Amino acid sequence: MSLAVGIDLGTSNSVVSYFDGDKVQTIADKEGRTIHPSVVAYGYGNTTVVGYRAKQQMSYAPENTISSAKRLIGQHFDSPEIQRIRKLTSWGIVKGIHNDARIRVQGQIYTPQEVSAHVLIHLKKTAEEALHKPVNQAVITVPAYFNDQQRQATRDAAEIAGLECLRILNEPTAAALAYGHQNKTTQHIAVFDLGGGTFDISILRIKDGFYEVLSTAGDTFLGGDDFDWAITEELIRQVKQHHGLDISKRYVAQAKLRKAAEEAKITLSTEPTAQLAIPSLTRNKNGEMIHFQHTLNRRDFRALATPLIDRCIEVVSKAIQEAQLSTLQVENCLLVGGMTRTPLIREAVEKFFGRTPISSLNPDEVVSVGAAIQAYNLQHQNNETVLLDVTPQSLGVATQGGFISTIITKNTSIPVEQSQIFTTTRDNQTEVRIKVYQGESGKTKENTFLGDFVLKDIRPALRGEIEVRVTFQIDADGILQVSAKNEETGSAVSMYIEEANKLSQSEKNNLKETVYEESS
Amino acid sequence: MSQELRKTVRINTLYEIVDDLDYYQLLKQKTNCKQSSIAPAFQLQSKALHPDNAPSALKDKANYIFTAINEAFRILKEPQNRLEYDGLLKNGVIRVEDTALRSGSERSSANDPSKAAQTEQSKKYWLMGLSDMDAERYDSAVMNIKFALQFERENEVFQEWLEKAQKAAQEAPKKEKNPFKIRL
Repeated sequence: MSLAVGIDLGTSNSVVSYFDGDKVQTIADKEGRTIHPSVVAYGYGNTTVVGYRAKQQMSYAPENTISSAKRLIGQHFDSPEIQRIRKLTSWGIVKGIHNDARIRVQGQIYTPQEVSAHVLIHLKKTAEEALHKPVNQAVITVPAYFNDQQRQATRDAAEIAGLECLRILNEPTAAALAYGHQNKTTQHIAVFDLGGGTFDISILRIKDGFYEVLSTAGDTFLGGDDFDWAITEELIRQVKQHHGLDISKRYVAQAKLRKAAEEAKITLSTEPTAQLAIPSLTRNKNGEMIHFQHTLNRRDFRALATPLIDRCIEVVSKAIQEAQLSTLQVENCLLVGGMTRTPLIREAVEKFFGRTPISSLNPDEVVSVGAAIQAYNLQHQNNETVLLDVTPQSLGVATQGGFISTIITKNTSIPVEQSQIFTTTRDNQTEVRIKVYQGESGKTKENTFLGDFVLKDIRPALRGEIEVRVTFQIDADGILQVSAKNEETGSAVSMYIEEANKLSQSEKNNLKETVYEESS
Repeated sequence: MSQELRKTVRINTLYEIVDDLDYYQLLKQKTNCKQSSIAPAFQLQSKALHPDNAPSALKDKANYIFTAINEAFRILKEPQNRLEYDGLLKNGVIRVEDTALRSGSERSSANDPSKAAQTEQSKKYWLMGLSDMDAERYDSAVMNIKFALQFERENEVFQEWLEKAQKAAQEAPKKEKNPFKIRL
């Protein structure tokens, strides 16, 4: 039998674990490392390298080295987030044929799904080498606040990588599962997950193997990377001040600063100051080499990090409110993600909850451990554990005037089915277009468009006379199906939202071939 | 009987009758049960019937059944909703839309604004206003809805849409001047 693993496909780093029903093993590569950089480097002939070897390439060939592909996955090219990170990346971001964001390296265009597939193949191979058995199935985690398109794109990445995705699991839910596996006390728990690129908070009730997510909230564009960028921007200002040179367009120099910024951030977790020394940063206008030196202390870092931390805490209080709890009722807080090692973050969380966060679990590995447990449960239909997750964002349809009528509100437990009746809005209208959106704004323009379809052959009548029932269903897998039914004739149409997703089956099959060629 | 077989029989049986069960029956509780027994009952039913724990061949059926159980818990866990549901149940209503538990006026305006006009005069302008909103002619929509309000000053749906239209008109990028046309 092939094995099923749990994969935490992170923005900066990925982790893979395996649970055999008895012990959980976080899988190490031949060098004994359990954390694998989610970095893909193009340009060694026709092939790619992934992981540590790719990360090494980042400092001398940043334009061919892709990190943080997760930030692009399932995003519209026009989204404000994409427009913002376009300015920060050393490679190009271009518009794909479905208005999706794609990556341009050396004149070639790659989808984020392909890049993520390379990371998944690397993890699959690492697991197969360690476990000496084929690995064909996986539970893959995503940020809880990912929308439907981002989840679907992650499923596509798995398919391209030749992995059957048993479930897309929310990262904080996975972490709670890993925690509850060890600690059987009945309790309310908050999972504070600050990863490389995203921030999530989920509030759960745990009782005898029963995991009920009460609420979840997050920011898909707030993570450790943003702290690195905040420091990098400060260093760019320092270079300008001391050397009179603007290096915001010099990507190699910037990549060096960014690497130094990340190291300084880690140093400041344990030391009061961090010394940065970057010999041969770049040349100034007279062609002289600049040797950059700077000292960063905790107070500087606090000033740079506070706006970001405040954003996290704001999201946390929103989630607690939506769970209809007070901070006092939350018995424990679990910190997840490498970024939560930073003392400033621990301090802020401790202050907010008025209690010391749990630190018995490895914040880098806990998500993949939970995913591995869920992979085992799904393969064996374990009757002792039930995971009840929620839909993180509201779902609705467009109505008159570019507004949204919400059908399923956020934080509704899945599986769920809800419907609403709409009427025709014009006289003699013979068809109705159902446009499906996700998000919290009341306006279509500010929400994410998921897909649309048409209910035809409506009897011509006065407006408001014909009634159409629109039903949204989300199954336990988190897959959304929307249907519309003419209440007069009973005729109906429906679609799975995944059918509306960006990559067609033929595109995926083509990618499957090229990705395997490149990685062999 | 093996546990697996028992589960198969239970899911197949429940699938046949689930549409006829009320929320209390779905959670295996009496209609006068204590509020505090609702959550534990839901947890027991979850362990027994969640589709993740169902045999592969029965996933779809289990999903259908569990959607109903989830709905039962969503309504009954809130004492206020439970009270309203109890009233409906006496009249033979076994399943409700969440929206049905919200107030009537909110519902009609959210679902069908085109029926909001009460007089013939207001209706003409109101419907023009709505089609303006459709076409994103917000300035024109504001005017039409204001006309409609002249005939029905107290109409809350009109007022609500007027606010929407005014907000949209303000936020809309100022394109070329959109001449307001009166169509009679």
